[in-house]
Amino acid sequence: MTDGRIFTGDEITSDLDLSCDVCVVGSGSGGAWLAHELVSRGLSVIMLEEGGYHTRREFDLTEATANPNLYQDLGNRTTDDLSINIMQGRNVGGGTTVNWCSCFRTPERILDLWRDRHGVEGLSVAALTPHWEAIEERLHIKEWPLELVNPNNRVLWDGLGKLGYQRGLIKRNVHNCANLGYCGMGCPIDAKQGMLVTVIPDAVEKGLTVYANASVRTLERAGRRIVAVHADVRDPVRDVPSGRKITVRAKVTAVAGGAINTPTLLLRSDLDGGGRVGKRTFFHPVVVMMALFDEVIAPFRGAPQSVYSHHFLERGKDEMGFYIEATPVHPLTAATASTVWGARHQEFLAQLPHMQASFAGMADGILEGDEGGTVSLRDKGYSRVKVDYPLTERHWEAFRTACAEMARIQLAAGAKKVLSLHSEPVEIDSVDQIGRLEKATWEKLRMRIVTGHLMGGCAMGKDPAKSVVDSRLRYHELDNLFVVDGSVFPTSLGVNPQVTIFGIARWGAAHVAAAV
Amino acid sequence: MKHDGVGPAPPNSTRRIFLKRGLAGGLLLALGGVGFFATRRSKLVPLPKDPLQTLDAREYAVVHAIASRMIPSRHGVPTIDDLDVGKTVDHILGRTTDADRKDFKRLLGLFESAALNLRTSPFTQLDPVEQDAALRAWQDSDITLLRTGFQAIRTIVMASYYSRPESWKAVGYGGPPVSFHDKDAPVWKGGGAPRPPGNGVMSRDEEGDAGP
Repeated sequence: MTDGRIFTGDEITSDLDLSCDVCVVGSGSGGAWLAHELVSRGLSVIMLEEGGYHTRREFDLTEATANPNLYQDLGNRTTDDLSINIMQGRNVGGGTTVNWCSCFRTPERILDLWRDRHGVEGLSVAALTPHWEAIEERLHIKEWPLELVNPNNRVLWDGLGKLGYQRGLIKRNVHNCANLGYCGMGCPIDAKQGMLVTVIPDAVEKGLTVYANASVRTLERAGRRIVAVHADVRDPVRDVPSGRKITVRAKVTAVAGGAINTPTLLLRSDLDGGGRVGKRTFFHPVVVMMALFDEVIAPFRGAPQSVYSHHFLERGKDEMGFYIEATPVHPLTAATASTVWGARHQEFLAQLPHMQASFAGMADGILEGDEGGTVSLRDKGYSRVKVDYPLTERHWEAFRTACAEMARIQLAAGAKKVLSLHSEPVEIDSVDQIGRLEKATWEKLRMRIVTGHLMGGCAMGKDPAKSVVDSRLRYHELDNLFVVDGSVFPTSLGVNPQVTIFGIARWGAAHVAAAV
Repeated sequence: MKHDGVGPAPPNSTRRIFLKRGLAGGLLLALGGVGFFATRRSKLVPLPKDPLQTLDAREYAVVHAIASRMIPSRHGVPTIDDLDVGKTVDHILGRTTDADRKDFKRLLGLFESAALNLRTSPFTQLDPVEQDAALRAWQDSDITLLRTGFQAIRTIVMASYYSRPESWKAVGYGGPPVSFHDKDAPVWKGGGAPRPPGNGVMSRDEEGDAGP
């Protein structure tokens, strides 16, 4: 066994020209599991990650440090019109360094849908179960005990119970968790079992070489093969190109940049999958309801997500389903994600310790005709990517229903007031006032819409005329290019996506290895 | 006509930003043709001691005026000057792409412009009540692009102020449990070195189930 190494941009002082069996682009939930499985098979693997190698030494539990270090676009990634805020990781470990540790296996109905409507073959509960079991063991994935549920989640638990709605406790990938509540800023005690402290170092011990601060700009193609991966090294402090280049010549290349950066890399490389790369992108668009309580909730303390409801995940025939969870609220997030300003904003924020925040994520792309958003390029340089995300009548109906139901849940749990995040917030003091929501203006940029779940854009499927990669994750038109991340989802999931990405990557590693 | 920052942007660049953003309809283009040349000067404010990276004096004044209304002075709460909001906005812009910086600078010019906004004065010359109305006009506009512009300005101003620990007290936040952060924690990069505790090793080597 040869020991691998994690290199950072400051260590790369000359251009590098490297060879290996597999080059993995991206170190998040897909890339990390893939690389681990490949080195475990004895293959030589080089991983390139655009973000920095940030460890608990830097995790000072502030949003001001975390946002620029650990998130895309300094924590300010959005759709082109700024109507949807996108929280997406950018670091060694990707989203798993900053997510809220919620773990759900892929719902069977989603895998059935992918098989029946999108022609995905071989990806079933039976095929994924052994992988999920291994993943859950390594990442210590277990249900969070009710007695440790924080007040922010407890409101949801109580309200759901009073109304007789389905509720459950979330499984979390943590070990020796101190229940601090700062998962979104990187875990200061390595209790979060993200890729950064688990699968990536495991793989490095088995020979994986990681280059952090290495932004892959293009894949070089010759005939039906990718012959080189070209990366710009970035200065880890200033986060700008250092002038150094890394070229990796691999037998097989696997892209795992996530559902925005994978499509843009393919597009920069003139690989548009017949016009389908970047299409059918799904976000689980999220709407939030705030509740005020007499007692202290402290929504910034305690495990961020521990309670969920899938009561509304499968609704009427033509209605978009949604899931309900809680969202942690820290000062910077509260200030930017709220909608008012001036004295009213200051008075709102002063109540932060008494706030509870519930949200609903829309399971889009599941109904027929729901095509989602589009990721495209402004140019081939370093410009911000272009994300267009139309919201349909089904989204707006589901938003209205979800906000009303969240208000009902919060009031049932004892909220004295509930507020929407419209530009002119709807204020609700009692159940009979929930109808006020109908009078609000339900339009983009007149209410807060956010996402942390990025899916689709390189859909998998049997038919090259309808998908980008095949059922073995191979790019249809090439022999040695794979996509191994959430961008291969043909639809959204209706649950938090990390375990689905872990599972597909661990399952798909056999197909990638077979191509070497 | 020379364009030296905030204030009258030449019509060409104004058209460009709107066209680039795909604005439907000709309303703003028409407005751009009417009055971009006739504007009064911006009301400037003292600049921070350190040189600015991105904003010029007029753009800084616009940011300062907007921040003054978004985060007004209030008893017991740090002011925007106490927390260097203008400087922080400048610093954040310095870390974005060239295209984003240019867009944001244009946006400040458009927001300041009296003519484009059918006002009698540039934003920085308005009184506070008028300034609030001007902000509200963009926030509530039927033109999506103006709501987008408002969103961009609001986000960067709020982030600049509320990223500072001095802002926490007023929101009832006592700060993070800093004792859990070890700024001297070892950084492991492999190469044959043993993995330190943490970094996944502590939990991997432990026997049994320590619970969450």
